[in-house]
Amino acid sequence: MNLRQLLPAILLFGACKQDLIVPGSCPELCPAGQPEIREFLLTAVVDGDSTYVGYAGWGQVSALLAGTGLPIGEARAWYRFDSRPDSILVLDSLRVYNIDSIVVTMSIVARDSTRGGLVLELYRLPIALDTLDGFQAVDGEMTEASFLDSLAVPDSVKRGAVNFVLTGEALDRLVIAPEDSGQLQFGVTVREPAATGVRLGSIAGATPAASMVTYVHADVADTAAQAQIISSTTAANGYVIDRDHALDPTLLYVGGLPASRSILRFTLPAEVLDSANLLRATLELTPDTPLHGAPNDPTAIEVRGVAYDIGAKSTPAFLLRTIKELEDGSSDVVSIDVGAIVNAWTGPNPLARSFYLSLTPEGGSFFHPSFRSTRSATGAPQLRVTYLIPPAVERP
Amino acid sequence: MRRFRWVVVVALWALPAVAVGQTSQFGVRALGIPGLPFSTRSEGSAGAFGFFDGTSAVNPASLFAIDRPIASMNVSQHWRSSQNPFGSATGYDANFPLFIAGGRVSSRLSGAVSASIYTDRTFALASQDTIQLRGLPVVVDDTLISRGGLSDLRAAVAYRWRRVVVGLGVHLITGTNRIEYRRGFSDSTFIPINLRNELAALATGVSAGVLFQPNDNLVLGATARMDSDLATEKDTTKTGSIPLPRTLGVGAQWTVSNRLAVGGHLLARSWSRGDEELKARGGTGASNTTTAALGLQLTRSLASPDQFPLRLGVRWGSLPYPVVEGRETGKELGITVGTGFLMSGQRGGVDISVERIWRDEDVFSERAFVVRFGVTVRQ
Repeated sequence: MNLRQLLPAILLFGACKQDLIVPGSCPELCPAGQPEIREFLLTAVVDGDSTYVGYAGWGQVSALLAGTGLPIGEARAWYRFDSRPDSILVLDSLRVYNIDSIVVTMSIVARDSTRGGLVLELYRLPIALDTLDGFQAVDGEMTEASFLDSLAVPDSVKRGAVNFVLTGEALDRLVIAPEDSGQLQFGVTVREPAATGVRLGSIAGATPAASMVTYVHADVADTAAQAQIISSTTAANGYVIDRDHALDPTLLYVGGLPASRSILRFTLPAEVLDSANLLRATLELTPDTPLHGAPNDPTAIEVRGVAYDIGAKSTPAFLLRTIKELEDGSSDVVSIDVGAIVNAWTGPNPLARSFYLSLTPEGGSFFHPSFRSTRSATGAPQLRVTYLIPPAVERP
Repeated sequence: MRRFRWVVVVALWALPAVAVGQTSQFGVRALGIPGLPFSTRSEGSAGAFGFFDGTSAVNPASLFAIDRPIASMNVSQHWRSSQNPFGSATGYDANFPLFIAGGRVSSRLSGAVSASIYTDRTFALASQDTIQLRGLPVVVDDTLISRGGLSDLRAAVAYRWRRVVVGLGVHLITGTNRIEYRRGFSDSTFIPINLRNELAALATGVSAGVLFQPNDNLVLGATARMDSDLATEKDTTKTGSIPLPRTLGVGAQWTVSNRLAVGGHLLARSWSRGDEELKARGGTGASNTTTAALGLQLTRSLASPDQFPLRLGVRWGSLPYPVVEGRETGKELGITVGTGFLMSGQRGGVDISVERIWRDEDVFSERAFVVRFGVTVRQ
């Protein structure tokens, strides 16, 4: 045996694998000092909380709302389609046609999955109507005379496409006047008595908006070429909701349309900024009125950090984000864990000590919560902070 | 020479880890658990011959046993079982307790440099508790991990005059201690804590030793050591100083016959010098220690006395820092067995020892096996 042969054994022996753990208990065995946990409740900076409006406009709704019987208000959706030509190119010539049927397809983004028997109703609307005309104008046009069809959505369809197939008398109500330039507009609502709501696909959303397929019979001798289709896509869409859109300046809002967002500011004590280790930080928001949306339609309040606090155009910190789902009908304080954001308020490059609140989905939710502010008599936004003062480890 | 280079490479690889010492719940307090710079060869007899062994670094006078250039390194592996009122656990760790290189300068003068463990503060404590947070019970898991300790760097010479050898050493005591505190919560809404601190320390010292050979069969030895106060820093901020102990030891080696030698030593260290300062820092204080060792070496072959001799020894000692304040400090008992051999024309030597250790302080106890492995290369 020589040294070279022994060398691998030496290296193996000295591989330094360690398992150091022994059971302990503080303070009996911990070297001097126990960590101390403290907690305080901080109110937002007075008048440092504000609501700004206009982040998502009428043309940027992520989903359309249609609902009835909801505490938040009645909602009607509408779709306007591209112009449909009055002739069709068949065998190298434009031909007039007769309509056999029209299929209007729309996508359900979300519905109350716990309640069956959802029925959608389709109406024809004048193309001059839009969201700015308001709920009364749109709803006033949805009468028996403009009724086209109703659709019982199978309970198994939680989301996805549903079709209205329009034939016979309904087609008679879809004659397009010359001044409408070939466009059709439809209104959608949910039939009573079930108090429920549904969110439908929108042009600006991730789920496709409505489409319309017109099945026609072209005026051509060749019978094989007679059956044709004309496809139309959504040119515009929106929804109207029967509620007061005026905002109370003493409250904080998120969501709605145009969408609101709020900024809250806090001042942390020096002890926390200097030497504390944050364990938990919870933002507590007191609803001014019960939170109402559509049952089982998930909507959340989103809280983000603020990279630069310059008011309405502040830059949110996109990676520091936390959400809290809202509970329909609840009046309880909404508690949101924001520890990651508050942690970023300290250190060499701290973020602004502000929270940036918004609703998700923005512009496409039945919820429009309002919270009390520092201008309210009670229930101002608060930050509950739990932190740890490090143990004074015995220092040799 | 080529083999010598190999050993130097291995030694340099090991050197940064010299201060990584033996994990023990008895190393939780103050500076940790002290180490004594005995070679594996000496450890085979529980350190009983350490005062006279040139590859150990306790007595600078023992360097005169080095008759030609050498380099020696030692590795040890620990398997430990710890019990205390909070549970029991088993663990293992490895370290490099001693590296020494030296040689004969002249017919009367030898010299060496060494790096060894002075104290070890490597441990990890794990505990679980339930505390009230925001009015609700939350289970917390605490882990306190400490790695490091103090290393003792020594340069020493030994001079022989007739039957007396005197030695003198200067010491630099330095080290770092990385402490990590973790706390996890059963409720995931609480953010886990992970804190890290680095403690650094520096001191100097001198040691002196003497060997006296009244006759051919008996060698007597004594050593004394005095260190300065240990200046400490936490994350580069000065935190004061802690007095280090004075050391006084005596030993004897008796060659009973051609085959049998017995030896022993008694070592006293005044750790209580740091008692007041440690208590002021929130510690449990310190007490003086006494270590005694008794051992023998039985030569199996007179023709080849260095081939697989049998070494046996027993060591008893007290520990300087009580785990719990006010209690009597822990006691340590070790029984060792070892052997070794030379190879490559006596240019290389390998030693191995196994020690069983019992440590107790009231309800705290520990049982460990330590296997040590030493390699020595001579020119």
